[in-house]
Amino acid sequence: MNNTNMQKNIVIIEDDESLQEGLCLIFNNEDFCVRAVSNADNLGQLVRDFSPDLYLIDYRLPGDNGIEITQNIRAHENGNRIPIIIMSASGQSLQEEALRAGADGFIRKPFDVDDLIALVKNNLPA
Amino acid sequence: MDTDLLLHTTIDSLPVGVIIQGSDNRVIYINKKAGEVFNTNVLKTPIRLDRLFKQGTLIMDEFGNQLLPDHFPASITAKSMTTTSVSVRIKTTQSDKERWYVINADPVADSKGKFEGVVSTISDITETMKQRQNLSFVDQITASLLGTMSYEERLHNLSSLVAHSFADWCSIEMLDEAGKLALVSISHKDPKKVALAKTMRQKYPGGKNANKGAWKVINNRQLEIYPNLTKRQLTSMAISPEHKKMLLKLNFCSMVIAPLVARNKVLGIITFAHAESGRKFTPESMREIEAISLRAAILIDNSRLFALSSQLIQNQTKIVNDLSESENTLKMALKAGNMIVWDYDVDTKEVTWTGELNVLNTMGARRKKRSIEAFLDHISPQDRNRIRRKLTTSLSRHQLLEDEFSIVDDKQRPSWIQAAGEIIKNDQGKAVRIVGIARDTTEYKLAENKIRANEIKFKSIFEGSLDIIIITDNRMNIIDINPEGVKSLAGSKSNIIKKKLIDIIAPPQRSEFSRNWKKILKNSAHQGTFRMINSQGEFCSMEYNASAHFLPGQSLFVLRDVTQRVTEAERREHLLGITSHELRTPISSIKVFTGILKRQLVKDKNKNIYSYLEKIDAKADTLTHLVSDLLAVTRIQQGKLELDWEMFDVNVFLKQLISEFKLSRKTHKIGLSGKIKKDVISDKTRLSQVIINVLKNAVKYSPNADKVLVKLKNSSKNFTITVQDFGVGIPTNDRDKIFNLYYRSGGSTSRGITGLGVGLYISNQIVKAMGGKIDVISREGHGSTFSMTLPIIPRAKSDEQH
Repeated sequence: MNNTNMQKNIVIIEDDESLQEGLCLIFNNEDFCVRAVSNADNLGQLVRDFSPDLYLIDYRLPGDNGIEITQNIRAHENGNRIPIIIMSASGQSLQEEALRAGADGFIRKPFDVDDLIALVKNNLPA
Repeated sequence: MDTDLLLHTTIDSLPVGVIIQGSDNRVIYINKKAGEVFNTNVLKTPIRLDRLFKQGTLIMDEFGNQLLPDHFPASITAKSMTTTSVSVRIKTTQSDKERWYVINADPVADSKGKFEGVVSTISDITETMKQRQNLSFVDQITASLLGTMSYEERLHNLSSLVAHSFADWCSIEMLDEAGKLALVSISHKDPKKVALAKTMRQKYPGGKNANKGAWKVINNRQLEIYPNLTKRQLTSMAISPEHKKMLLKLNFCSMVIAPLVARNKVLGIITFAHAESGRKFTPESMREIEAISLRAAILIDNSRLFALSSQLIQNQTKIVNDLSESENTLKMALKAGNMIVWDYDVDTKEVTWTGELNVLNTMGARRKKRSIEAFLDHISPQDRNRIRRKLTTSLSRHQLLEDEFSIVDDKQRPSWIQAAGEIIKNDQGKAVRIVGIARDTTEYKLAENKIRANEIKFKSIFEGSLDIIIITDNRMNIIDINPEGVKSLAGSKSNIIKKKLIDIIAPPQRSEFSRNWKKILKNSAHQGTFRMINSQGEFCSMEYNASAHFLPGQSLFVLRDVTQRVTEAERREHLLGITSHELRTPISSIKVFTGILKRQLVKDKNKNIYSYLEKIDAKADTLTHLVSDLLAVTRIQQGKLELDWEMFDVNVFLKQLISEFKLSRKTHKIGLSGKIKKDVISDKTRLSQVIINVLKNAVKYSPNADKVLVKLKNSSKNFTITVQDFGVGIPTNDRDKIFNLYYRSGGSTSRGITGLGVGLYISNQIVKAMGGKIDVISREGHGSTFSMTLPIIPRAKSDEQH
């Protein structure tokens, strides 16, 4: 909306520095506007300032985990549903839990970069 | 040649006797053998059959009654014109021994049917009869005495059996407590005659003349024979004209009165009589008479003992039931019986006994007689005075004597005897004897002691165990719990005794436990783990071991609190999860950066560096699989391999899987054939783990081949994925080891083949967990075929759907 050249905003929550850096690189290269944090501590402020089009959240984080963050986001949004993708090194049972909690996508670590890009793009509103 | 002479010579040489009688019944011919049988000379002129026999030759029926000429088979045949066959016993003056014969008489008639005479053949059957004689009539009598009827009924059976064959009449009378003879049974073929005899017996019970008839028999304990009762003799017995009339009407012609004696005591008399048949008792029929009287006496005696023994047996059974309902030893011992009959004579102060008891045999003498004092001396000191006291009390109060005592034998081994006895009073009502039975109860005692020892053992285990022990009935009601159980589960015993076992199972597992309960009762032994509620109201994990029906109607549960162990396992599991996460994260980074680089290089069209990167990427994938495999091994070993079921199209799944696999294995073409029409329910992730492992092996072990064939097919319930390679194959020796953990085919390292040796182990475990199986066909040097057969709808899934 306030992104003029239709550039999409993506919020990445990942505590592993190296992975966070890589993810930023990937989505910068794909012409996303990226904000990356390593926990959900100041997420509220970030969301107000940045108004993301999609969240990419690691499951295992210090403090709230990815699913709890998802539930939090879903509980506080008003009519404006933003897609959430959960990344995790854990298996299938977590995928179901994530989807139940309100996530839109799930990707298991480690993943192919192409697969991740495809999943993110598929979950963005046209 | 003279045909007549020839015929005579032939008949004379026959081993059977032949007698030919003419139409006037006179004997016209008798062969040599027949002459020997009847001890008679060869015939000169025709004579009457009864004249044929020399004085002293006795012909009897099979019961030893004299056979009158009218009853000879030839006489019967002459009258009836039919063949008659009769067994007889013949005794001659020449030999003391009687012999048995079958006489067969055939009528002879001329062509017009006119009676011409009788031909009798006489065959010696002595040898056969000797073998049979003990099994004949007497045994029939014995057999009739067995069974479930009352002894009066059995006695009546006996007399009626006698009256239908052995004698015309039979009566049994017993001495009652007052010393009077009481009629128990009187039998004759004709019920009208029985009624008459009974009336007569009622009206004229007979005097007490010790020198006459019944009383003479009783007092002398010897049978009396009246072989020929004349009318005069009968008349002389009569007390009144009416009595006389009755006696004449009954028309006894031969009579035997025998005493019924058992254990040296006269119990009564049995009377046999012949009347209208005209048969006579001979000394030879005494053997049967004695046998019959003995059996009748035993029957009466047994019936008296029966009351005593049944009481004893009842007590015994009660003890058996109290001690252990499953101790077979006791029941078998009970069956064996092993008892004696004893008799204590108050006057002589002697105990006598019949029958065998090992412990009594060890007293030394073979004689089954002891003075009561000598007997008491053998009884163990702790029992002796009690028994002595009881004996005195029983005699003075006329009470049934019953006790158990031990006897120590010459080798100091104790034996136990249980005895019961009935007081026998004389005419004056004074106790003169005690008669009873005794049995060796050593076996019971020892078994009882063993059970007591076992009980003590059980009790100490029950009380002292650190495991929880619960005893329930078949409806899950808790009937006992040990102190440890009270401590961990209840707080107080009364608290838990009222409950059902299911009440202390964690609520989410109750329905499962109910299902298992049926299995527990059915299988008798069952193990498992359940979450239960402890005395603090917390959930705890209990490992249990159930022995259903450890006693009839009771089941025993041994429970061990494994909460701590389970918690530790959970912690380990948690740690493993973290570890796997920690391993995956760096791989994720590697993959992310190779991914970024690859995309960049594609843009830059730098194919060289791209191929290097692809290799790094492939190795990162390998690393990922290894981590997954290790995690899977741990889960399998913990029994925690969880499956995430979903329904999918296995055709699409397999196609995708193979195309991904092809990317990293360029050396082999992977051919896929076959399709199945149904969707399957399975765990995609686990199934790909299986297929990838098998495919990896197929490629790994066929370095010189260029293809692997994958086939898909299904039956009504299962689908099968087959992976065939054309490689080295599996050595025969190794075939059953390939699914073992850390197994690697012999020489695989020397061939440069690497790996952890977990792939097939995991695959097999996963397939098993899915309810399927892996089959292997292999030929060394030609390759191997792995077939994974899996249910289209797994059992666990189909259960849920019902």
